[in-house]
Amino acid sequence: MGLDGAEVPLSPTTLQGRPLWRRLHLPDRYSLFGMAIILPALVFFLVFRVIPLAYALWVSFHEWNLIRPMQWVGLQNYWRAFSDEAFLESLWHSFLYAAVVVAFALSLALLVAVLLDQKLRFAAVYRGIFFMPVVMSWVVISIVWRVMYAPTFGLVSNVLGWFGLPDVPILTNGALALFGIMIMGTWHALGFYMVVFLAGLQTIPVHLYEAALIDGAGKLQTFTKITLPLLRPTMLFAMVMCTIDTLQVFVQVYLMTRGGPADSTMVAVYYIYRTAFYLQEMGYGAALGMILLLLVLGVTLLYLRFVKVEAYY
Amino acid sequence: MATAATTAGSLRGRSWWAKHGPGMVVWFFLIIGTVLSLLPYVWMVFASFKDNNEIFSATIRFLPEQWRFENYVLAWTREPVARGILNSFIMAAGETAGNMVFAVLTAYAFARLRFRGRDFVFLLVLGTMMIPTQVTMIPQFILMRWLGWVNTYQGLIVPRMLTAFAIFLMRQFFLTIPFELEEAARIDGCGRLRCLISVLLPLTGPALATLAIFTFTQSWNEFFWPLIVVSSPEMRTIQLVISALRGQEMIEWGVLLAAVTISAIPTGILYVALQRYFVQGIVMSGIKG
Repeated sequence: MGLDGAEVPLSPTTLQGRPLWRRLHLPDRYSLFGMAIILPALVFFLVFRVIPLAYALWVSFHEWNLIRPMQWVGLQNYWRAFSDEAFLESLWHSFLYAAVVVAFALSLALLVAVLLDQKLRFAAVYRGIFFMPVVMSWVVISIVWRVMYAPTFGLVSNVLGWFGLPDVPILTNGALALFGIMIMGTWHALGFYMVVFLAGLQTIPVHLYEAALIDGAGKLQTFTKITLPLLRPTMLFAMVMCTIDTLQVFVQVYLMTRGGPADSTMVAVYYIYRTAFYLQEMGYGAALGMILLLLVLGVTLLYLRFVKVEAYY
Repeated sequence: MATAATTAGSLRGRSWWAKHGPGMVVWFFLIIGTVLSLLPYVWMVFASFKDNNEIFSATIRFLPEQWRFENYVLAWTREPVARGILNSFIMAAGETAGNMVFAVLTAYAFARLRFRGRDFVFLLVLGTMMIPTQVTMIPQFILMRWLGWVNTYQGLIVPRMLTAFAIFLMRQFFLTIPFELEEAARIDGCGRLRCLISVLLPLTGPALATLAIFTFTQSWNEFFWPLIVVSSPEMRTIQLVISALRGQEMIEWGVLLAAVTISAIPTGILYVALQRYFVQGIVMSGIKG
C-alpha cells in the first residue's frame, strides 16, 4: 500500500508485481471487498430477522406449548383466529387507535410545522419543546399519564372540573379508556412528525413561494397549491411510519390498563403477547403474529399504491 | 372629509387586525402547545417529591407541601433502581458500540462500493424494518433459549447490535460525500479500507454522533425486547424495574415517580445538550422519503 501506486495506478503493467487479489481487474476486486464487508450484516439479518420470521411461519402451523413436542395442525390456528372474537376485537382496537392517532397527530404536526416554518421568533425553542415527548420512554409517559388520569383526584379530572365538565374516570371507563390512550399517543407522536414535516418543508424551493407571491396568491392558496402537493413524499413517509408504529401499540396498554376494563383496550399485540407468553400457546400466538404482519404490509402497500395513482395527474 | 376619515379609520382598524391578528392566533396555539408538552414532565418532577395523599388530592397544587427527598433515597436504595440503571447502561452502550462499527461498515459498502447482490441485500435489510418486533417475538425468544441467552447481556445486546435504521441513516450520509474526494485519495494510492478510515470517517463526525445518540436513546427506552429476554429480577433494565414497581399491590406513587424521573435523566440530559443531533437524525433519514 502506501504511495507506491501513485505514478500510473491502474495500468496492467504496474499491477504485475502485486499480490493476487490486487491484480484482479477492478470490478471483481470491488466485488470481493464489498461482499466481505457486507457478509457480517447479511448473516446477522438472516439469523436474527429473516430466519425467525420463517420459523414463526413454521410454528404457526403447529400446536406447541414449549414443553411437549410440536404437533402439526395445518391451517387450524388460522381458522381459529378468524372465529376468535376476542382477537378480532383486539385487531379492531389496534386499527381504531392507529387511524385516530395517524389522523390527528399528522394533521396537528403539519399545522405546527407550517407555523414554525414562518420565521417565527423562538421557533427553535418551540421545536425543542414539542419534540421532547419523543425522547422519553413509553414507560415514563404511560406512568405519568396514568397518574394524571386518576379518577376524581387526578390532574385531568381537576382540570375538567375547572371547566364545569363532569368528573369521568377515564381509564376505568370502558367507553373512554381507549380514547384516553389515543390522546396520549397523539401527544407523543406530534413532535416526531413535526420535525419530519419541517424537514420536508425545507426541501420546497423558495422561488416557488416567491412566484406565488408575485402572482398574488393568498396564504391559503399557496398552502393548498404549493405546500401540500410538494409535501406529498414526506406525507407518504410519515403516514407509513406512523401507521406501522401505531398498529404495534402495546406498552401503553400493558402499563396503564392491562387491556381492561372488560377488554375495551385489548389491542392486537397485547393479545398476541398474552397468548404466547401467559397461555404458552406458541403456535396460535405465531399465527396471530403472521396475521398482524400481513395486515401491516397490506396497509403499507395500499398507501404506496394510493399515492402513486394520485401523483399522475 | 367625513367619509375620508371613516375610510381611514376602518382601514387602520383592519390593518391592525391584518397585521397582528394571525400572529396572535399563532402565539395562542403555540403557548397552549407548550403548556401541554411540558406539563406532564413538570408535574412528574413535582409529584415525585409528594406522598400518595398529596398526589391524589381534590385540589391541584403543583409544588409539594413538604419536599420528600426520601422518595429518591428509597427508590435508589430499597428498590432495584440502581441495578436497573446499570443494566440499561450496559445494554445501551453495547448496542451503540455495535451499531457504530457494523452499521458504518455496512452502510459504507452499500453507499460507496459496487458489487453483485448489493441492491438485493440492501432491500432485504430495509425490508426487515417493516417486520414489527412483536411479530417475530416468539421465534426470537425461542432462538434466545436455544442459544442459552435468556437473562444475559448478550441476549439483550447482540440481536440489537445492528439495526436497519442505523444502516439506512449512515448510507444516506455516505451518499452526500462527493465521490471525487475518495477518487483523489485512491489515485494517490490509498487502499479501500484506509480510504474509509482516513478520508471518510473524519467527515462523519456529526453523522456518527447522531447515530450514537439515536441508538443510545432508543435502547435506553426499549421495553419490549428486555421484557421478552429477561425474567430474573437482577437482569431487569430500568424500564422493566419501573414496570415491576407499577405492578405491585400497594404502589407508593411518589417513590415510583422518583424512579421514573431518575430513569428519564440520562436521555433528558442528552436531549437538552445535543438537541440538534436528534433533529438532524430525522432530517437525514427522512429526506429521501
